[in-house]
Amino acid sequence: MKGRNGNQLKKKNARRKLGAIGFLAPSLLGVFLFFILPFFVVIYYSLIDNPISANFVGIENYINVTRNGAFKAASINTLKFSAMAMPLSVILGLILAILLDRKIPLRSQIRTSFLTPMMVPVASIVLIVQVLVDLNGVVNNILTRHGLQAIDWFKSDYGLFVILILFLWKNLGYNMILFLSALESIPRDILEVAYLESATSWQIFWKIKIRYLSSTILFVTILSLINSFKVFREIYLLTGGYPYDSLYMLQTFMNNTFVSLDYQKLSTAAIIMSLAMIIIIGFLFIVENHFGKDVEE
Amino acid sequence: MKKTFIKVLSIAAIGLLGISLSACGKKDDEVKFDTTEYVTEYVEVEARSEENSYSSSFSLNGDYLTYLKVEYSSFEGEEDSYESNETFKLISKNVKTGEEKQIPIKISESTNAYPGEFRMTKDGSFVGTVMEYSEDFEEVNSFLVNLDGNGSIIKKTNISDSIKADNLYINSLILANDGLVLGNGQDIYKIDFDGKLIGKISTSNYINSISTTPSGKVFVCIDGNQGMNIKSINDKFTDFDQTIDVEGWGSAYGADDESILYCTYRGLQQININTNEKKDLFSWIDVDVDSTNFDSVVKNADGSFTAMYYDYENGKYEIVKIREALDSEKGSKETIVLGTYYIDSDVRRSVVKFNRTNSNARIKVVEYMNDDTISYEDSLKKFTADLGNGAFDLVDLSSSNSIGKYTKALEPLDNYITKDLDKNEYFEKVLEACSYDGKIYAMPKTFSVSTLAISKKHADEIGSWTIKDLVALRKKYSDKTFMERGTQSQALYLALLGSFDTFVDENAGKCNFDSEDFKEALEFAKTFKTDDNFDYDFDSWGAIKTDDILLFDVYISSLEYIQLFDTLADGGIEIIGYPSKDGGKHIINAYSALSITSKSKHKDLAWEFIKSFINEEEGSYGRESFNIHKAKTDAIMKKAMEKELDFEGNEVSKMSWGNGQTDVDIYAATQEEVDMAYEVIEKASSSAGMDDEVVQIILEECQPYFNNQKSVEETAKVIQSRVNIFLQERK
Repeated sequence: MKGRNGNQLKKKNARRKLGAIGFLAPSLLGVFLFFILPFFVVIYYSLIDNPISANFVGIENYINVTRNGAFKAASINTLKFSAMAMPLSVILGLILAILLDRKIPLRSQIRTSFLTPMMVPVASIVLIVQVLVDLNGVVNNILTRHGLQAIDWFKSDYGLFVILILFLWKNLGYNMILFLSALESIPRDILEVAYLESATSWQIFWKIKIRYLSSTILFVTILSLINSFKVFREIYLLTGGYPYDSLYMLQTFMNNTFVSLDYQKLSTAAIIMSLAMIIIIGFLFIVENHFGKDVEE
Repeated sequence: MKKTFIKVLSIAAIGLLGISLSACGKKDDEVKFDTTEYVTEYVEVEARSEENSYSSSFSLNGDYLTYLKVEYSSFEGEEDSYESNETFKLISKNVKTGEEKQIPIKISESTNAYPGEFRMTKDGSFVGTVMEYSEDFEEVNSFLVNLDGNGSIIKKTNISDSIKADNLYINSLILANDGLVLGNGQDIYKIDFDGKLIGKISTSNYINSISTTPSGKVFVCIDGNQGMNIKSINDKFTDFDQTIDVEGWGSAYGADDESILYCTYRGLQQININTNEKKDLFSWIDVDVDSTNFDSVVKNADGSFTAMYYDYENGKYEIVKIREALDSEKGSKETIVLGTYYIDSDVRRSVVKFNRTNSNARIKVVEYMNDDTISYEDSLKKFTADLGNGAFDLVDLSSSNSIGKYTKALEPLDNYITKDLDKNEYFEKVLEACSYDGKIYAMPKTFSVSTLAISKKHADEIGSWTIKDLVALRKKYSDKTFMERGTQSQALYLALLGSFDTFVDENAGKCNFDSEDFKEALEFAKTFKTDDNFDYDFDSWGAIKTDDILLFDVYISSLEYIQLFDTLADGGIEIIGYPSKDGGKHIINAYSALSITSKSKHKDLAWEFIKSFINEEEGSYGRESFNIHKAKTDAIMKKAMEKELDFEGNEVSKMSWGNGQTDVDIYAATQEEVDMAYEVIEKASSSAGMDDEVVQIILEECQPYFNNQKSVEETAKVIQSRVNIFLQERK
């Protein structure tokens, strides 16, 4: 009797597994076709001389790309931009979330206003930015009216800051929403106990909230890092494929190599960029594990 | 029940994903390379003009071709009263059997009578128009002439009063069921067989063709103000009753009672006159027809098409019958795909010739600029993407202007050239223009040289002809028109064209646009008028003649260009080239430059086509441009030196050239001019090497400087920064 029940249970489990695989199959197939397979194709392309003769060249493409002046410039610019954009977008997103977590007037309207940049098409944003900071734009008009020299924003080092502002304006809203939802999920009883124990707001923020927010901070940081590495559309639309050198990013490099049909260079650069991101994200996980482990416990 | 529902739902979800995944593999705008769908049969017809004869009024009616042949004997009489002795023949030829009937006709007693259009009627008789002038040429009349099958005039009716036309020259004649439809360019008349007017329609635009459907509905193809229109005429012949918009410049022909054929130089389209639905039938190049001048297209009862066109190459009319290929006839040859942004006439001619004669392969042309092209850049991007994806075996990169950009997708031709050709027989500099990194990637057929000239009287003022000398010359002649198209951008372009390699080192991936020389070039360009003030009416030829211009661009694609400027300038010209650190520099432009793609699976067949293309003899209509083959260019030069004489042995001009304001007669070339041409070719540099992207950056960044918004240092710094990235990336 027991044996028959056991067999039935086994059969039921097998059917469940089969059902689960059936449900998962479309997603797995999609992930395999569109993510895993292309990734291996890119690795393959980075190890051959060209798609026709397809001779294995080892790391020759990697050596060539890392020695390429344009790639070096693009990497430095991208790192520089990420080093500014990533912390700013995390910190400012968090500050905004904390402010909007309080009971302030027009709270929901302000939240919505921070989300609107996500809905505006990039082309429209670019148009507005051009009107504002072009050589003949509004800002330069104001400057020259006050006797100051006009600045060619996108053809000077100031261009990076314009792009940084554009990046923050576009991404802060989403980061803020993520932080807000994380803040709301902090257990109220712990916060109440802290108040009863006469903890200061700073202590509550630093000792409790930050600890509970650590996984969200990590997530937002990774998201901001990826977004900052991918900053391209705005720069391309504003300055074309060959911008002033401080605005020349890795994505610009890859786009241009794609246009000139240099798939080896493109694939190799993509792999190097992925490796760099994996290392940085790995480091962020270690940091998060270190600071957030007591909350998880 | 619930479980079944979930199962069905999950199966549906998987199916849906499968469908969506399969759809990902195909794009709407995917390039399709079909096999040969049509078979073309050829009938060579008749030369339009031969010694002592010419033919006109060609018309095709079923299997019968009718045309008028005018034969004339040599000019006779005294010097001031030459007379020609003309005889007229109507030729009726069965294009199927080759059977030909020649019918001598006498159109008028008057010697001032000129035949118009003639057609053969169903009963084998003929009808036509004749224009007759009075003895003093003061009066003119148009006649309708009916001839029997032997060419004897049955009836001759004066229709001048009936049609009351300002222009009595009838250039269209259509046989309708109940009369004749005549056209003179802007008016359409319908007359009965007795010459009585039935109806008249006048238009303000040019009528390109008149045709009828079998049931007698008359259609005209008119140059509308925004493209071509096909208009049908109502039954009473009082007005148009339908308009169909069509693309390109073409002619319409009746197909059947439901549809008409619209023929352009690209291909044939069938248009349903009830629904206006258009169906592309074929492109002419795909059915091995090379012509832009079609006289008639007929749809036959068996669904095939007969087309008659003028073959410029051979100077003859040709009739082709085009029918759908049988399954057994399809795919018997390898298909070589030739991708091109725009197919030039030389390549087109060769493709047709190759496809007609080669038993192993056919060339399929994929052209990216067509009547639907809106954006040059988008079409070029698509062309580049398809090139990268291995869609072609052959490419014509003449229009892209930078072979270096595509070398990764191209096969070096050096081995093929060494194996099959003697490199010494070809102009070395032209081959260099198609090379990158020491390898030849394209084989052009013809070339031209862009350079700069100055009147001989100022030639000793140019110094060693560097940018500094150019700037000094500008300062000296600041009050004179310095150069043709003398705007800021053009001036900068002129200053950089010869010196580009001093500012850019592609191999090292470096540039020095922040150098003093470049800043000087910028300052030089700024002294010219802005691009907005370009003077489109400036008569540069007139200015050269009166010595009111100092430097002029000379674009030498044939010897006549050197002769033209040498004749214009009082005392002749000196070709000085574009200023550079090594003195004057001439730039080679290669045309019809064909390359084999590295992904091609038919490289040998592709090379076979290139070889036949460059070795092809020039036809009678061939351009007299410089050929990459030295011997062919030698022959062109020799021909240019031959004098043309009149009856008394005096030299007369070979051609007259005009720009609308100034005319120049060109005589036989002198040895000095030929030597000048060879010297320019031999000294020419491989190419300007100015990448489009770099030119774009420079011109874009200069504008704020020209508009006084930036200093020369700032401008040079930005250009240096942007171009440097471009070069580093390409390294």
